[in-house]
Amino acid sequence: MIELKNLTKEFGDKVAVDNMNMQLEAGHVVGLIGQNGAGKTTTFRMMLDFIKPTHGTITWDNHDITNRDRQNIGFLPEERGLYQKLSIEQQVVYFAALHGMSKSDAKQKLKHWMTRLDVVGKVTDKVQSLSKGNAQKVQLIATVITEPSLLILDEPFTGLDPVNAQLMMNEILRLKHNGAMIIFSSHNMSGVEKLSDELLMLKHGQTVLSGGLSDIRESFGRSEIYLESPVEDAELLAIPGVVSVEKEGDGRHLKLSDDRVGKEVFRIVARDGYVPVFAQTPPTLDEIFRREVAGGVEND
Amino acid sequence: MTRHQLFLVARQTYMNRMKTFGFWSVVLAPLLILLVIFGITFAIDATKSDEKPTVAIVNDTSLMTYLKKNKSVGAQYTNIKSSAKAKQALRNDKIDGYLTSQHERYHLTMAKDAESLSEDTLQTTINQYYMVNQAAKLHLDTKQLQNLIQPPSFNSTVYSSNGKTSAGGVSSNAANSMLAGGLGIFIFIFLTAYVGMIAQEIANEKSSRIMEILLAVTSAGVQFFGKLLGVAGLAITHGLVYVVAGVIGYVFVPDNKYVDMAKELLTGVDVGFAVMTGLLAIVGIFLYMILTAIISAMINDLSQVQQAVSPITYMAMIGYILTFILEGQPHNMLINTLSYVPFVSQTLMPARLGLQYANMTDAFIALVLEVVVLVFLARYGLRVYKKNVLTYSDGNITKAALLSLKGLFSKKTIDE
Ligand SMILES: Nc1ncnc2c1ncn2[C@@H]1O[C@H](COP(=O)(O)OP(=O)(O)OP(=O)(O)O)[C@@H](O)[C@H]1O
Ligand SMILES: [Mg+2]
Repeated sequence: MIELKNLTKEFGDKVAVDNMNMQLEAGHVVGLIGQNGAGKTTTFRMMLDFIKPTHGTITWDNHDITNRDRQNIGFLPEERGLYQKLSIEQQVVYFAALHGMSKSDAKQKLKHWMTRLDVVGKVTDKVQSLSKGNAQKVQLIATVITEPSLLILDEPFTGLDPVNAQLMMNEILRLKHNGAMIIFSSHNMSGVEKLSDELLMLKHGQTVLSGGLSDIRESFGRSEIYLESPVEDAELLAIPGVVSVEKEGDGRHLKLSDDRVGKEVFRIVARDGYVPVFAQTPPTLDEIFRREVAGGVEND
Repeated sequence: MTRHQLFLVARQTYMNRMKTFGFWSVVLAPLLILLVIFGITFAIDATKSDEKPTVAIVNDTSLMTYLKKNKSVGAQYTNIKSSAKAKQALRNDKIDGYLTSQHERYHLTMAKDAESLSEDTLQTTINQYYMVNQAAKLHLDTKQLQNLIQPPSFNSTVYSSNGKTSAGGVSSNAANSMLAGGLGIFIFIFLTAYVGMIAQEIANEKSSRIMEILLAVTSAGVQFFGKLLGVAGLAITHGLVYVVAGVIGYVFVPDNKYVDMAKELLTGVDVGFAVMTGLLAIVGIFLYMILTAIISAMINDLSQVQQAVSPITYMAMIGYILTFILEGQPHNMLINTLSYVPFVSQTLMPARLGLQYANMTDAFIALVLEVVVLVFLARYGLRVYKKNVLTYSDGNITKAALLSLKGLFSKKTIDE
């Protein structure tokens, strides 16, 4: 188990990470979200001992992270990098060797991964000849081929098309089921929602939300309604407690000031005895993110 | 674990470079140049025109007989009665030149486009001829003549301060200083090649952000020393290639005067000198490598490699250039002091040693100083490296370098 306790990092008088607390268990995925500059990469850098925290501790099973532990870390950096002049195989074999994997094992595994991730090309192809997406896949392979017990992925989905983003997600889930501890940062909220068991939302270094995804969502109450019904906008807005009505796809999206208002909305739309779609839900992560972090002022 | 990773990083660096054309061109270029020079001199020797100039001897048959017996001048001789006729023959291109002799005064006239002949040898031969004639006039026999012209013997030995008189005296002295000079060039070539290589290696990993992946699984120390070890391995391989080439050359190249010269030179070098010089050079090269690794960590992208490397190259040049102005200045304070200073001593001290301006104790002090600085740089440099290698400042690297220098001497551990 990885434990971050009272973790703080200051750069001069700027606080990049402020008193962060977090636990990461085997088979769990933690998503780290926050705007640009919120402190996500800084957190990872402290976990990897690139920089020392100003205060606080990071422990792995209650001891400091040792060099031996580090061999069990798979890290996908924010800015990807590979040796352009090496072949895919040379590249992956080298990184795997640093993680303590034998050459023959690495070669064998690489073949599986190449097919699994659908990488176009041969293992002997030079990295510089790969397309960006394929290079990213190779990078992922290099990160996960040794099945590390701790995975740190800094924005793993950026630059991937939806198909490849899905591939990436499936791999992360597979590693999770194999018992890895996974922490990743992302701006892709639907990705975070699908993957994370827990999440941590940062704003200027401060933790604004943390915990299980559904707990967080429920804590905001079921303050959203998705509706497909012929009732006019004006009539809906006239209900006390309905904050806004917006068109969304085939239906409309209502925001409520209080989840009890839902009953009144339902009474009105169902007065003819039939309503095709009525769903009262907590806000989506995207919604929460916008409320808490980006446009936080507007809803306060 | 860490030691294994150190080995992996070193091997990776070593093997990747070994496979490049760049490495082998650096290694083989000097050998090729030598081979070309050798080939050209050989070709010139082989295709030298064998034509001998024809020189007419005007009205002196006994001189002609003497000259004909003596082959060293490399000319053919004919007899012509008068200088007027000789002049005529020269004008008609029948002969290449003529030699007149009148009252012990000899004069040689040669056509402008004539095949050359050695005038010095001609003069010596005429001297001998003259002396033999004079001896005959004075009724001296050969023995007496020999006694008369033989110079007395003169020998010298040099008492060097390491307590031994070096056997070859002047020749050993020359051999040592020539070796020191040659080594100066050699070290300089080595330095520039490997300084550039280290800078490239580190800058490449840093600018392509591979460094983060590498540092996540290893540590700054493993990267720093692994890279250095790998490149040191390359430098050693490079040196070994030359040793092997030298041995092959020694055994297989047919004897000619250049090879003989080289052999003679090498036998004049004494072992203590060679070992000390070698050590000074090797430690010196390592010093430069570490310095380069530290500075390269400040590079943000490959375009800055040149900017980072050139000051280091200039520094290496100081020691090299000073060896040229060293000769004849055994007591120059500045040069003497500099010859102990690490980063300069690797060429300057061997040169002074070779010229017997310094003794083995001096060289040993220089070596110890080098080692001390090496250890210091390795330990404190690692800190600076660690601080810089993950920092991407967009400012110029001179500023980064100065800041790091400050960090180098500050006591507390540096982090961001
Ligand atoms: N080496 C540094 N020196 C000074 N300030 C830094 C340094 N590294 C990061 N910061 C600052 O710390 C804050 C957090 O940066 P960090 O890179 O952790 O953000 P992030 O959440 O990863 O953002 P992004 O989504 O853009 O990747 C930023 O304000 C950044 O400017
Ligand atoms: Mg970041």
